[in-house]
Amino acid sequence: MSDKDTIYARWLSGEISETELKELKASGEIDELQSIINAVDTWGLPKIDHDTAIEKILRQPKKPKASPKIIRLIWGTAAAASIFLALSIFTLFRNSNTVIRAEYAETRIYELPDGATVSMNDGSTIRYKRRSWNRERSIQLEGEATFDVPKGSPFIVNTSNGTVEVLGTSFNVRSWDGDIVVECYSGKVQVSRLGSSDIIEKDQAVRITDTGNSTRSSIVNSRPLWESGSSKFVDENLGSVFQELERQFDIEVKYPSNNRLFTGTFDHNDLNSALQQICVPMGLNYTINSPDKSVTITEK
Amino acid sequence: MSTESICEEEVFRSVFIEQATPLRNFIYYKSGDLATAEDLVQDAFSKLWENCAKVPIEKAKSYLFTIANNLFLNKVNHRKVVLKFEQREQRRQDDQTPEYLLESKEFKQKLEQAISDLPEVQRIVFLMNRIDKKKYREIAEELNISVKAVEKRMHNALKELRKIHERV
Repeated sequence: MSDKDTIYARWLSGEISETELKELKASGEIDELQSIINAVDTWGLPKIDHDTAIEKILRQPKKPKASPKIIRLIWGTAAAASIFLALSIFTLFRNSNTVIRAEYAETRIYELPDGATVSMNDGSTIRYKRRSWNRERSIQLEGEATFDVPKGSPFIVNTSNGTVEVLGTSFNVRSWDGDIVVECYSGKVQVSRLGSSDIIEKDQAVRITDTGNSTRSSIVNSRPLWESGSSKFVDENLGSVFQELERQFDIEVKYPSNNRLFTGTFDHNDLNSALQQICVPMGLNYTINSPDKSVTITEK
Repeated sequence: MSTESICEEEVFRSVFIEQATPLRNFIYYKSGDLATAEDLVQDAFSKLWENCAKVPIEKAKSYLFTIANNLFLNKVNHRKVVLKFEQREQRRQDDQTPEYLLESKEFKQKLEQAISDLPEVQRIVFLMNRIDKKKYREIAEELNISVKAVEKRMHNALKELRKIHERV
């Protein structure tokens, strides 16, 4: 008693009767199926570098909560280059975007097709077109990220608060609400907004507000401080400071609205210390609520 | 009953070498995203290592697949699946005219698209059988369904894929 609804499967595994086989051959269905099977049987997927992956698992310590997470292919760099090559040949997304997002309470480093890297702060998202990457290196950024860019075609970071264009350099872009803040660690960077633009060099930073007001300053750091576990602010709106706190600790903060400016730092490893670092100099009180760990801020 | 434990490094290694690729492929067939698949394999094996004392070696494979599957479900990946494969062997060396190569490249793309468009349950069974070379019985065990169910899904997948031969 043959089952029509499994006949193709049984043909493939060699478990059909002579009669069934004759029928399939006569109808020409077999030729169509065979061409499909012949094609698929020549396909494969990238090889895994077992040794590297195993080492990573065996040697990993207990994970603390907000540790940086490095996204690297398990397969090792030589294989990684050929995989990227293979993937770009197969044009993964037909002119659509590759979207990378750093979840809250994690930082993430991602490698772009030409070897440029982008290190993303919590809650940030980037979008880019992998297929046309070599012709135009253009990324949409929501949030904050640091880019290390080898020389090549123009490299452009688009944010809703302004645009940054470089030709081989290292820089940090912060774009959350309103202002765009860019720090340049090497090379030269052009930051544009509302028709005006600023060029900054190594050890310089620029902030452009939503009215096109731009302020330059000098910096002494060569990497953004959020990469080493603290957030630093110079004359920053208090609201923005609490929003960064929310992202770093993945919590909700209720704060009174005011336009006070904060200059200082908070560390990412402990919520209590971080709150003290902000509240003490600003004359504020805080309470951490149970059980959701949300925070309420009040004026003294 | 074996007396080996996954907590022994050599044992863990051999489980990894045996299961990492099919597990990674399984998640890839579901998600269409190699990076995600790689991450989940790493996470699943990490969990196995953490819990090595609690998982007998015979249960390792189903443990890994269950963990990876659960982690995947938590990821909320609603993007459309787009699968691509590497071309391994060429079929006939002597017949590689430009027309033939273009045709086979186009055919491959059409086929990849058709496979990506299959309902997930059919897609997974089809690829586990053709790419991972698993027999229906093994697939049935891993997915916790009957062999008949596997055959039905395989049949339906092929029935669907046949349509790429239809004149447009």
